[in-house]
Amino acid sequence: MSKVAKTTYYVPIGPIHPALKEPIRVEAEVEGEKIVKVDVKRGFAHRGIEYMGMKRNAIQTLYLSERICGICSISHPYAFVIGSEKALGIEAPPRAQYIRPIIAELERIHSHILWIGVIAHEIGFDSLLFWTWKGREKVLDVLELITGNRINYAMYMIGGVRRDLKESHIKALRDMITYYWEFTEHMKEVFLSDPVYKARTRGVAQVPKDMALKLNLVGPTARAAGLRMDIRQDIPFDAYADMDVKAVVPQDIVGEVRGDAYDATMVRIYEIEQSLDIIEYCIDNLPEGRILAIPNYIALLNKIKKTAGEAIGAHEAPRGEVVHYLKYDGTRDGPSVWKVIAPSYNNINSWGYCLLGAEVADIPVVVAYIDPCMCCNDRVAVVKDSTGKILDYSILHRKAVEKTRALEKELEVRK
Amino acid sequence: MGKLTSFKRSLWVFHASGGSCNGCDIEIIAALTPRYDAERFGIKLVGSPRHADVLLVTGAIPRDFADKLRRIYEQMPDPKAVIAVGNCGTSGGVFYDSYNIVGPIDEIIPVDVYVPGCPPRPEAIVDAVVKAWLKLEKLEKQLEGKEG
Amino acid sequence: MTLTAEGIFDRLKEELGDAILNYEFREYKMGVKRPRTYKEVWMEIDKNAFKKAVKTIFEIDYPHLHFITGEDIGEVIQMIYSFGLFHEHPWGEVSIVIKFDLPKNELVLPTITDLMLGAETNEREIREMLGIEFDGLKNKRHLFLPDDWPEGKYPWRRDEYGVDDMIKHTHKSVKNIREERGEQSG
Repeated sequence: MSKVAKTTYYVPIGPIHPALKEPIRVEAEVEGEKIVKVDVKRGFAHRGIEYMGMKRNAIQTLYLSERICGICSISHPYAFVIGSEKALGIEAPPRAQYIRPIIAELERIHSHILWIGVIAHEIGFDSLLFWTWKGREKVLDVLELITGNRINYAMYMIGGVRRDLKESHIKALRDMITYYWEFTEHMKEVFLSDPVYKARTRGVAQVPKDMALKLNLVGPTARAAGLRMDIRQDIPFDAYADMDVKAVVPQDIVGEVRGDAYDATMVRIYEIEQSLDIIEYCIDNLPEGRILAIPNYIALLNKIKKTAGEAIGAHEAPRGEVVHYLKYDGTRDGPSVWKVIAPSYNNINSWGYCLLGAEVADIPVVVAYIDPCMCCNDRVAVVKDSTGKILDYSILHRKAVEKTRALEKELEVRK
Repeated sequence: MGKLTSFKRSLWVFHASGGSCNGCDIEIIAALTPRYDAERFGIKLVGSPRHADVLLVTGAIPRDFADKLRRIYEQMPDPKAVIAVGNCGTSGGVFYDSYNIVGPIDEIIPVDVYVPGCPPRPEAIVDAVVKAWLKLEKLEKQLEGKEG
Repeated sequence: MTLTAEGIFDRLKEELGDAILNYEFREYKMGVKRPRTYKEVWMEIDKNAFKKAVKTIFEIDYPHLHFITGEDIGEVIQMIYSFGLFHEHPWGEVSIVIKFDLPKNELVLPTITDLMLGAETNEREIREMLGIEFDGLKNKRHLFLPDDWPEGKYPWRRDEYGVDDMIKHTHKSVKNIREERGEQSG
């Protein structure tokens, strides 16, 4: 019997792509339309952040940690601050403990809407990309009103927050909440009830529950597989500790769980609604008082210089769990050991598993469904088919769109 | 600002990201969305450097990426302009003492327009593209002058 | 069925006995209106008991691996492994941190990828950042560092294998720029 003709295509996904901005290279050997071997190469954006952080003082390292990722820009400082407060024995005042989750949930809303736009683009609904990103501008306006910038907010400090919430901010927040309750209703109609979207994502990138445990997945990807994992529920802190946050899993919403891209979309849209509830609770119960435990930064750095301690700080970023390990050894005013684990660190392991046996047209959906954040990880993934030829990304994207059009015709929608 | 006379086609932009945190990249995409809408000026993102007029680079460049950046620059046809977006590309940004960064972008390829900010606002990025457009005008006139 | 932090520690003490050199229960109080507490287990063990400790943890319940890291302290490298048990229960996740010392002339560790596939990323990173070999690890390629990274340079080490000589300072002061141009400074 003759061997199947093998052509290896290298399919570089991004960095050149308008929606996927980071250097990614997933190497996959393709036979015909099916993928037979996958290899993920990482490391095109390594900047040596942990090394730099171990030489600077704590406040400079806090600012550096903000720039690990531009999308989950408040999650890394949050985990750093929680870890530092546990290690140094500083407690933030109650008002700061209620302001911090508000900013974190605002970031979750903007990140999930960003992801939905990217998935829509990968499937071929380009106008949906523009519609969702326009809806995202409202939360960016509120963030700019409160913190002064759309990305990289510089709000957190060890021992509290740096800026206070005023009455006008609270009114803007309430308006935004009303706007987004309507927006999520539209999103559920457009994405979850659409037969073409369902056909395109059901069964794609499916991860069963035991595989999710073995691959160490976190975040909405693990929740879509049925695991009830959420740092805000398991190891709570700040205002989450008063609230009893529950992880959003598909079996609570529709009764069954399959762990594919459709479930991931459902989990993320319902998480946006959960965030709106959390913000409303925090605004309604905002205590009065100070916002920083040690307002003078020189005094703070002196205290850090004399205190020794170590701790783990974790936060549930939009993409999953962010863990920072910190050790202060009492000789300098910064951390002596610092380890950062970002959510996409382990979620990328799922590509190897999901892509085996999948079709070439599904590659963009699989790659984007875990919401990869390469800058958090310096990963690169390359897809090549079995002759070693690199597939241009435009070919991949075109195949993905063609599959959607074919499905539309089959289901006789939108003629 | 001068009038655009010889650059008679719309501006095609290629975006390359070398070790950036994605803040600047998100603002570049936001510049194309309906709120800031750079597309109504004819500015479009393309998938290959061979079709591009302007190169947008973000990030401080790690060791692995320097060669790729040079190759991308060489693949672009003349006249071309390079825009360095963000503090990392202009001066290294917060990554000023790393073991894997080979420096701000202008030590690898020549840069025409710098956009400072961490990240710069979408309006600033659109302004930079317009400035590059004007420079391309000048370069195109020079090319025509030489051949004509 | 979940166990408390003390319950988990008792199970480990049964299996490891004297190999546990030092242990500590850390308690953290969180919350403003309804403060509640949770506990973490931190322990130092002998390096030969490492694989046995990990197997015991996996027998109690399938954990979530938070991170693996190491610190270069003089003649030894202190490894730190962090697991999270019972992670689907509100206020119920118990973090277990295991630390042990590896002498620098014998930097070999058994791999845990046979118990958990996802640990491969962590072990590859430790391999290239600290120079520790993992017995049984199949994929030994570089994770973050470029493929043409010079041998013997490990970024997290503080001894002669460190990377302090590979740093590039990208900011230039005005004095530097003037000196480069050959102008008078000051």
